[in-house]
Amino acid sequence: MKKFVLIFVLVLTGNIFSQNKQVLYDFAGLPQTLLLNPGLETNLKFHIGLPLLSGFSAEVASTGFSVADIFEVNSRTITDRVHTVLNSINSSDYLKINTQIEVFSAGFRFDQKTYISFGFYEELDAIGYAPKDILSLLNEGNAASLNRTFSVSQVLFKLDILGVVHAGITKKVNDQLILGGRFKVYSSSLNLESANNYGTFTTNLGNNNIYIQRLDNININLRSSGLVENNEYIYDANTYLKNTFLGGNLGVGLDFGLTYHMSPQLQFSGSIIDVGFVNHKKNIQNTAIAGSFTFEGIEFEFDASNRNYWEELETAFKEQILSTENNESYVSWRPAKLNAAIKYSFGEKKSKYCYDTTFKEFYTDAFGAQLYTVFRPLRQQFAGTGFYEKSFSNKLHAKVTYTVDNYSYYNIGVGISAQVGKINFYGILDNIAELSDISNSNNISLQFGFNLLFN
Amino acid sequence: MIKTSKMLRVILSTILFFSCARPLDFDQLNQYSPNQLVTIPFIIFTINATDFETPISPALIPSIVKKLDFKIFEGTFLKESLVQLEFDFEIKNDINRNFILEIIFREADFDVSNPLTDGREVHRLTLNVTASSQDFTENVFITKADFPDIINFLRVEMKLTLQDDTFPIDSIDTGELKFKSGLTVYFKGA
Repeated sequence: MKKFVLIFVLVLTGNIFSQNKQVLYDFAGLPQTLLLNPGLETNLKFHIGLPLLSGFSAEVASTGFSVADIFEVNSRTITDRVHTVLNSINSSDYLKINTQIEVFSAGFRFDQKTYISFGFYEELDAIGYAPKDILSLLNEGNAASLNRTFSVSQVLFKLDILGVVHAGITKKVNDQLILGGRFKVYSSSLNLESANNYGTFTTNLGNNNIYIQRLDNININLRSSGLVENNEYIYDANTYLKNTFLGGNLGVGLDFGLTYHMSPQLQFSGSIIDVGFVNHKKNIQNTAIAGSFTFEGIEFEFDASNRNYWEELETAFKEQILSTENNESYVSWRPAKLNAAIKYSFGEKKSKYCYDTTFKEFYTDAFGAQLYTVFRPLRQQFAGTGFYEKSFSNKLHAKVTYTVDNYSYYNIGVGISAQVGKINFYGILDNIAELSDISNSNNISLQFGFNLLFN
Repeated sequence: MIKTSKMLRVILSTILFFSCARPLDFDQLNQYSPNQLVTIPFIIFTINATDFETPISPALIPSIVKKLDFKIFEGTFLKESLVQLEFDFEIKNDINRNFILEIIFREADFDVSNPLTDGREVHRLTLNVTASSQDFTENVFITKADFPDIINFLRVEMKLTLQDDTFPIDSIDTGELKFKSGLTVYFKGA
């Protein structure tokens, strides 16, 4: 039960971003690999994904702390543990979650050299960096931090819920080169983001009074679409779901990919995916807070008037720290991702039945290296992977990966793909070294799906 | 659709079943009680000796009163979380007279249109400021445990009185009295 609560809490409170699917990448000729690189080679005549089950992936990850750091049962109080976590994290630590569910997917061979694939998937995608100064201020107050500068520039997050309709083409140019591209239409049902904030809050010993407080050069921007309609928050989950089916704010994106066979055993592949944006026009609610304010206390004037000092303070604050709202449209860029891999095949040479009623030779073993990077709001993030892939038969494949990324230096992932008749199942689990204690893990990731494959 | 969701649940349950997690207790969130100490500048004023005279004739005004709405504790959450108020006072008195400074915490809002409507007094601090005192400092704690009524204050009244009002201030009594204050509020999460 606790594990379910853990995942539930993280999904609800976390901020999600795109996921590295290093095991799935170029694995067993699965059609889902075309979403990671439309230029990968497939050997299919056509395929149909089992609706809602052809591709499910989920990842929860954090840097700087784990769930166990806060909720573990030991002699220390949770207040102490939160205090420890706040002291240990820094503003580049983050919490992210990514889930993707393929609603449907299919593909067919257009001709001997061309494979067309298309589908629709839902994605929840977000990231939130730790605003350490703000969290410390809320948790401890400012009394023990005289002269400390609390910065609001650390407030940086992005959350997207969207549906993606896509269609792609994979074209074999010659025996060495395969090129691919995919066109995507995004339908965003919810976008929340805050970036490019700046400004500071300080409390110092003063001259005119014992203390002086300053809000210096504050500039905070909060943008939202899909959250507020007619000045009322949308609470109906069905509305969010409905808007992902082309009912939300629309955008477009492109994927590009290629595979190049340097020799029969050595291949290079690479892709750039989600190069695109969403143009948010509907149900926009943006808030901007800007200004500077200095407070040295309330100064009594000993005159005959009965001034309302509190009201004057409120008025002065509102005049100097302006909070404005607008409904202006804005563009939100999708997080572009880069994949690159080099793969060397070896071992026993086998043949498999091909879509063109020929037999294609393949090697039972392969190893190689992959590089993944995603463009994030604060900075690019990288993951390096070494892998070994084994085909036990032309129906049963396995892959083991070792990944070094922001979360771990010993991330071992495993994947298996099996086909019985026309039914294919694949399952992938990442970071298996942490399965013995997922509460202490910084990263949990899994993918699985069912397809009908026709060669 | 039902079969699909069942299958999804079975797969997720299987993965979670074979994984492990050390004992976690999310109910601990109810025990989360951070100690927040918030420091703010409070009231300042400078008063001249001549302020104790009427503009019409040099008749003595025995005391001067100023009032301030203080609405920080309007919300229930802060009232419940309040543990203690700590006041720091610094006074520099150039006037060669003793003063009594009373800081009265009242319950009701200050009514600008009717300044005679004083709210119920919930607490009072009294500072005795000696004549020509250049470095008067005082640190006062008001804890909710000892003075539970303190959470109800929504207005501060400052009353400055000549300790001996039988002798009016005259032209010999020059100078000014400078008052500075800071407030540190101790909160503890429920």
